[in-house]
Amino acid sequence: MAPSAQAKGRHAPARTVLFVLATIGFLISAYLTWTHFAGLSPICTGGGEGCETVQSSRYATILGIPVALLGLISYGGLIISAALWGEVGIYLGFLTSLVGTLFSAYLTYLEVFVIGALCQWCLASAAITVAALICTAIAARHLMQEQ
Amino acid sequence: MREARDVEKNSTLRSPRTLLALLVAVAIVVAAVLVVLSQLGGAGGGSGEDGGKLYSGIPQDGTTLGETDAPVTVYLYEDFQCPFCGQFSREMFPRLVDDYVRDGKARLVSETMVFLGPDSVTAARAALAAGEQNHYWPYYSLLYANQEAENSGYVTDDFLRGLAEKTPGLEVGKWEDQRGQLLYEGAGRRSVKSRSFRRKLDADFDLQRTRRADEDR
Repeated sequence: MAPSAQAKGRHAPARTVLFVLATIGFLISAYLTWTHFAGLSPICTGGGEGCETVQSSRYATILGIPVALLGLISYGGLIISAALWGEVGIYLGFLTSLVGTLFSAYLTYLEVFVIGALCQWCLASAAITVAALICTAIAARHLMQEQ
Repeated sequence: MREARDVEKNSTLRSPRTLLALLVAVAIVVAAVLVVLSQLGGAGGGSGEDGGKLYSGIPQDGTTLGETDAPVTVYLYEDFQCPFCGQFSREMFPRLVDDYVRDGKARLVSETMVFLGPDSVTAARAALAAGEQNHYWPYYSLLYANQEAENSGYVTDDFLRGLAEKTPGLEVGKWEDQRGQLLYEGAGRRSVKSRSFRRKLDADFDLQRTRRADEDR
């Protein structure tokens, strides 16, 4: 295994970007989780009722767990990944952001084709997850080339 | 020999490509599980058995749920296509039934509203037809558990029949007859137990008649 200190130094820009992205994602998920449990409707930027419709749809929870809470946990994982940023951290980040990207693709599909409403918060989160995947993929690629 | 094999296995696992493939595979599996749970979740909450459990031992009379002598009556004004009504029905409603209706503290009366579109009327008729057999409430839960986007055309005959088949104890043939009667003015309409809905139906019939007249012209 490559020493983690080496890895930490090598991909500093990707690490910083990931940390910033994960923090923004964490805040968005925290807000949506809070509105879910408080029974409030999220403020939808640009007007419209898209966020309300999406958040009150039957796809907003999985086995009773709000999707926003799953997002909160994932972004927490990405923050930890950026903090560790060793071999384990980078691979954990790659795995988390890949799951996030795949699931966000499904959620965006639901918004467009099934629920028929768009929620800017959810779209922002999807974009952040894709950007996080790019960061972790770059770091993972460097890591593999070293080995 | 065994040691040699172990070392080989270890180095295979350590190869970056294998590790990458493994991570991608795990990610796909996890995402697939989430998607399956998400798809099942909505329908799962609406399985007939769950509905049966929630309402077991609670008297149902038309669109009324609970003991007739309950000290409090709660009127629910809802449209089956309304997303917030759906959220209420899926999240709050079971607790309301368990905590207040089951032990006779309150009874619920559903006052079906149809303000979102023609599909609201179709859905409401289907539920009221189930109410004619005093199975309104399980059908009500199923409609909300399987709710899609309003006016997206999901309220089809097949959809409604599928829910009727899932409703425990409902005679589907009889339900079809009742539903058919509710589609036209006549004896069936008069048996509709909800007064406000009867008024809604009248308004709807007037609208349909006007539209038909317009089309004929």
